[in-house]
Amino acid sequence: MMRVRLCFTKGPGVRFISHLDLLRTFERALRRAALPLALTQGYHPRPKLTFASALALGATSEAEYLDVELAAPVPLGEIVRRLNSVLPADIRVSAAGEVPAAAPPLMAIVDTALYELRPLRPLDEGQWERLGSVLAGLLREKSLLVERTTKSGTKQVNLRPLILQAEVSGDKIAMLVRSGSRGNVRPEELLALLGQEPTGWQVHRVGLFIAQDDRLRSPMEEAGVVVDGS
Amino acid sequence: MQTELYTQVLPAVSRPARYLGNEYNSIRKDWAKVPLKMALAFPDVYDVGMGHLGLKILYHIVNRRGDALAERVFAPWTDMEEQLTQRGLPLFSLESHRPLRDFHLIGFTLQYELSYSNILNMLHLAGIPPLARDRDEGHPIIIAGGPCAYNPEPLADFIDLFAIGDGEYLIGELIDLALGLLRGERLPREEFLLEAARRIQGVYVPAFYDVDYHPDGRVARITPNREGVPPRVRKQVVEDLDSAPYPDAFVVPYIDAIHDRATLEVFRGCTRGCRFCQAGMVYRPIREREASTLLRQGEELIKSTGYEELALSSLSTGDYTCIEDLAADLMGRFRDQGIALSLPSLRVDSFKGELAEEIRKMRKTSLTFAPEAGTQRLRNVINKNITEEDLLRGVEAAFAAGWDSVKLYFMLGLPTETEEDVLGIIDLANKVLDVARRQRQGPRVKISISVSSFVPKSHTPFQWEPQATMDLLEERQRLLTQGIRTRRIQLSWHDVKTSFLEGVFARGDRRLGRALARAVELGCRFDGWSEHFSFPKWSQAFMECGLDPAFYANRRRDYEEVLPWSHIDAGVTKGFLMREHRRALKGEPTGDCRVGDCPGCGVCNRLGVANRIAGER
Repeated sequence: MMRVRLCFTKGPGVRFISHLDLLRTFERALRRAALPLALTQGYHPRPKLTFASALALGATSEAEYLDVELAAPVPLGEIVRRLNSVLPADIRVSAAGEVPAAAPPLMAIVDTALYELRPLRPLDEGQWERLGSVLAGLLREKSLLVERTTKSGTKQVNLRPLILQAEVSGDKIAMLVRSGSRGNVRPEELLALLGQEPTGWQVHRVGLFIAQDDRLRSPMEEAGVVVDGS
Repeated sequence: MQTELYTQVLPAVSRPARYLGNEYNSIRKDWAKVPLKMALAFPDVYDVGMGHLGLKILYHIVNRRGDALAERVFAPWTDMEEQLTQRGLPLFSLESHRPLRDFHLIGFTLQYELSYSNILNMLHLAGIPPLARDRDEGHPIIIAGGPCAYNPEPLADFIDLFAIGDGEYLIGELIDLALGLLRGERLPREEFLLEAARRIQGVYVPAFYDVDYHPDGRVARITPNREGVPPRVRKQVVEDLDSAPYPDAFVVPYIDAIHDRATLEVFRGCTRGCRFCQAGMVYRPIREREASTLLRQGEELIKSTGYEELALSSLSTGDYTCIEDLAADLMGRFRDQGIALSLPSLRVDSFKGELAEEIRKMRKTSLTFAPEAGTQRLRNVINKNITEEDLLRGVEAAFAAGWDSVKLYFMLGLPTETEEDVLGIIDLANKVLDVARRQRQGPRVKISISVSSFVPKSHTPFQWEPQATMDLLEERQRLLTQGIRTRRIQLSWHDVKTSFLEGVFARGDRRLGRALARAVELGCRFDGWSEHFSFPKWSQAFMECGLDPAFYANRRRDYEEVLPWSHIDAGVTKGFLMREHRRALKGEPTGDCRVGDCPGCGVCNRLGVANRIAGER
């Protein structure tokens, strides 16, 4: 038995693929790679895959994570090589590591995400400046209430404590926010607060992290041995 | 266009992955280096079209050539159509996002009459004149093939060339001809069509035929208007399916599409002779693939796609000669990888010992039986040679093997049907439920009955029969709903208006083209989707064109009438269809020529082919 953690990118060509589609894509790629997959029991045997976090439809990412269980050990380099040869062109495994079978699931530990937001139509210097001051103003607030609609109705969420950092830097907005087990900020929510049309921006996830004692740890740090896929 | 597509269009539509075209195993060739470009068009949405096996076969055949490329295009969903229209963007191919009008050939597959409006709409969105006579040298040649091409007439105004019969070699002959005639980027239209019609078996160019009508609207005669064009177009047949090309890889959709799995075509054709079944008539003879070939193809497909399910496809897979051996081989090969095998329903009881044990452990895909009619008398009329005992034995075996539910298919409005036959459906369903309950207890035991409306099709013994009127069909549907008294039996039925429209086009003539064009103008598309189907618009279109749809759907034809498809030769003779029709009315069954006497359908001797059974060579 071997539990493997993979770090992968989701490029522009597959950014319109939903989380469920991505799951299916990995299941099939793992079969094509002919890896010795551990399967669930029962009438519908499936590979055992768990992702760290769902990425919004339309967003790209350079560091998504998933754990997969193998029935027999395979060298990490071999896993990366075999997967990358059978994945769609815009999905690339960039690193693989082995994690202990008893390690907590990814979605229970990942709690922070770093995003970069770029406008689809270039903004001029003045526009960037105004955006920067609106953003600075938002961050001075104690409370930033947004409404979220769920199946059970609408509820108000205060985003302010969930935004760890946000700034205009060059031609983009960078935002470090809670994501996952300790609350969640969606990039489009911040854009809406900034008075921007979310569909006018390209969302890119730079990384997912585990916050621990003022430090951001990569989920790959949980893994003992890590092989770089690049 | 690429940038606009990714930044503006795709974020604004539902299921944007329908339009990406970069799925695993999709083939994108260098446009500049390949002389002949063909688009393979499916006139329904991606999620439906990607399940179609014929498209996969043709995609493979064209793309394995160095001198041609094939790209896919599906009907854009209504939100995508809105985007294209608003932005003035033309309908594009998936792989390279090229406008459709940049292709030399566009081949539509005709699976269903209610997708015809989508064909016209797709041409319109591509900026290609839907009427063939309005197109010139600068426009692609519009080709259509598939089962509905056996009555091509309602589409005669819009399609340049119909490909009748098996397409595996026909498509190559068309491409070879086009390559030979290509002048730079231009394909000389008239020359290509004329040469194809003269030289390639199965090619029908409707513009080369004149149709005259009697004053009452019946067809008087159909005559070629060009020299050297055959007076009757005979279908093309692949004699040996075992050696015919078959894809070693399928494009793997990102999104959930129907039949999203690896599929093996175990055989083509069917000789059971169900009298309502057009496929059973026009795909003759039976051509089985060898078990060893299928095993190899299954291995290739699973390896190249990573699919978790392998399905065996044909008109009647339970009839495959070595089905038990094949199933055992496939299961033995894929069991450990957790790959499910979809097996034919009726043979559940024939799997014994270890194999039955394996089936029990396997993923439970849906199990369906198709008695089609509720009484033995009516089953004899339609020549559906399945008895009540067969059915109950199959159901018993299925429930014993662990299934909780089965689905039964029936048709309403079959020739000679009475209320007794309709009540027979309920009777049969109750018996099935009793058998099921003896095998399995618990709340989940469920029988689903799906009832469609019979639509008489061309080239079948029922081609002369009137379709039951919508009123009668609705009355019989009511009879059924009122007769079912347990919630364990669930009933679903088809909308009768949809079946009526299908019936009109299934046996229509050329004059329907005007009504079709008008209906599309009025906004008809995706007629097979209940949320889009608008019967009032269709009625308006027929009325404005001075056509009575009931003339096509509900009228009895006599044997002497020139049927609109009489110049299309599907292999079976008119004499055979007449004999079968008479036997039907007398309730006399006809045997399967694989196991019994030759009923003289005419296919083998006229086409110089024969049934090919696996293991017999």
